[in-house]
Amino acid sequence: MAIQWSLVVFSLLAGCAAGSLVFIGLAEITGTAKKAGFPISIIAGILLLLGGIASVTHLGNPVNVMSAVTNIFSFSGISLELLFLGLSLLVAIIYAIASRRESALGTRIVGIIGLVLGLILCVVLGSSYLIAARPAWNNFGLPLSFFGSSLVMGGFLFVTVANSVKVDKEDIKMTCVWIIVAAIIALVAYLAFGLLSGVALDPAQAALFWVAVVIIGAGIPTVCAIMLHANTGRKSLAYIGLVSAVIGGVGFRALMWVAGSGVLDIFGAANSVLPF
Amino acid sequence: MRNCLVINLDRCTGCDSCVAACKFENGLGLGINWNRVIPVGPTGTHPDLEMYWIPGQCQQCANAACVSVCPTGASYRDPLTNVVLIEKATCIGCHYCAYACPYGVRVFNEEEHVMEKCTLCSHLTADGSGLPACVVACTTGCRFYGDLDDPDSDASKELAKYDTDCIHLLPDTAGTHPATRYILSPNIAKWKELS
Repeated sequence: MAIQWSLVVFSLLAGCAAGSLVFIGLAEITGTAKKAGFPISIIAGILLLLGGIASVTHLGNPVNVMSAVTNIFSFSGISLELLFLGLSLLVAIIYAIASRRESALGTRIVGIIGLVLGLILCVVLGSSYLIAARPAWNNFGLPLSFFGSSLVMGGFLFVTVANSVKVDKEDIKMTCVWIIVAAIIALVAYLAFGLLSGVALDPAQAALFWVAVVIIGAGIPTVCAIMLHANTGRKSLAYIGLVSAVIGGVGFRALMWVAGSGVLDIFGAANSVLPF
Repeated sequence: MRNCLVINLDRCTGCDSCVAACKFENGLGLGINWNRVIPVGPTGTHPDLEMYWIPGQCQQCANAACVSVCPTGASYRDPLTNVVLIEKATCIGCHYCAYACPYGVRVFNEEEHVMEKCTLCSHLTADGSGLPACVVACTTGCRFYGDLDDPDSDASKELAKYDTDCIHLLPDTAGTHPATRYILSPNIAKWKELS
């Protein structure tokens, strides 16, 4: 199946934003990296907006997009994406305002809400693709990969910004621990998707999977987080981890589309003999 | 109520009259089809050769995935006829219904930027007065339309003529339960599961 790049960009940006909201929430719960919260929430809001715009570019008839809003409680996959995208954007804005007003209680409450919404959005971005007609998509590895990918991108975005606003070293160390967990989740998830969908063993896709997705997308971020934890002064590791996580995220999402053949394609096979 | 097509492959010659009739009746543009005919075969070794044709279109699934994934409700089941249809006025062209369809029978209209598919000629059949154009145009009389839950419908009466081993469905690996039935007698050809 052709790669739907507008949807790749959408889930990449929205996933990164969702992951960063999770890390804002974690920081609020532990009272760490307070200075990073405001800029991250702004960036998350911008990413959510840009992601939303990217998703609209996929539509054949965006004029009718309000129909999706009025039908949002159909709880279809896309409806859930739209719902949690909107709620996450709202939370990002409210968090930014609360942070600006230096409301410690406000940022904590909103931050925790953002953590929950972010976790849900990380999953929902992938669960909408759980379609029985696309066997390669219809396994738990798919939404788990979206979840892990979003967390690791969000984590490195958070630590990159935290470094730039000169957050305490101990707070960076704690963030790195969470990023390591996120990267391990991403690694396990990517492996699960690769094996359950078959892309890990398909000669045409294995190289992209093992190199871009597993090694670059999960392996390098794990190493970067471990090294950054050991030496918080090496800020370049945050950039490398972020870029690697994004590359892995793009690679995974592209592979998903390439592997997404349907059960049967009557119209596509009309001029040839179907295998039986 | 299960309005759908019953197609007797014992008599289908793959002439594509149903394809042409559908395009003409529904004003479909160049390159757009709401139904296609697939050749299956020839298989076997001379003189024991077999071949048949499968006309494919929306299977009117009982558990239509295209309806459940639609974010706008554009893909819906008509409450009066129980036929799965598309309301173009609310379709956003997200293609999710096409991703969810196990049979690849939905098409994107590049001019109107919405999804389309076989409607069982609802404009002719909804009030019970007409038949789908493909049924009328079939040169061998192998297409039947009707309610499978009505034993007096054309579709049900045709099915009743055959043993169960002659009645087939397209693969239901996605759990959508296609309603469309295909009749293929073993003495004509062995049914081959498509993949």
